[in-house]
Amino acid sequence: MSLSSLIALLLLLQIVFVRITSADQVQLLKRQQLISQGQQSDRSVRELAARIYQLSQQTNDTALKDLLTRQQITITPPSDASTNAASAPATAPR
Amino acid sequence: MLRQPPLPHLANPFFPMSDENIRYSPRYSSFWPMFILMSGIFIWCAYQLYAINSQRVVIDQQYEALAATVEPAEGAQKRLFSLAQDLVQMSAKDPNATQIVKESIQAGILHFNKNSTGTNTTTTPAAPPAPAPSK
Repeated sequence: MSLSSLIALLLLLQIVFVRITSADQVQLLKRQQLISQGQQSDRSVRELAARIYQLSQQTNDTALKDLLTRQQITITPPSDASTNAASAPATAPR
Repeated sequence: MLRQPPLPHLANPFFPMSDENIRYSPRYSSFWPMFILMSGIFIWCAYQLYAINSQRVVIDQQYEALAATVEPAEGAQKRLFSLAQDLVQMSAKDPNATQIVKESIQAGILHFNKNSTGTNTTTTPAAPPAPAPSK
């Protein structure tokens, strides 16, 4: 096999590898996006659950408490009596 | 003793070339320049292939490393969708739920998707619009 044939073969391989790598990169980006959205969703669930819990405690709304129970979300009240939203009760969705 | 005179072109390097001398001169060949050029291209192609393959390996490793976090992410999305759906359904009767839905939309936790087809997607779950308070 001459050197020029080898070069042609390498060039072909290069084209194939570039295409495969591009496809893999797209898949990786999609997965990273999915994970990022999942993390955002997790934060949203925590915020929402904390707000539902807070309001259910304030208004003694059993329907909201039932909602949390239905969604299998348990809230552990913080040890201190702080009502700061940042230190809202931790949710432990199961 | 007779001495034979040396050949003129051997004795004198500047001896003018005759037709006979031209016939024996080395001929130009493009083999070595072409060989060097082709070798260079070959090495460049091989290196490119190696670099692309290395990049692909790294991408594959990153992709596999993220595999463990895909399932929790999907679960979180489903959980948010389920919670939002339940909350919105409840907001038709419960004013507290309506308040939470309104606050969540304002805070950007829930998004109203006008073109929602009602099917689950991998994007952030969209909540239907909050109904008017029943007061």
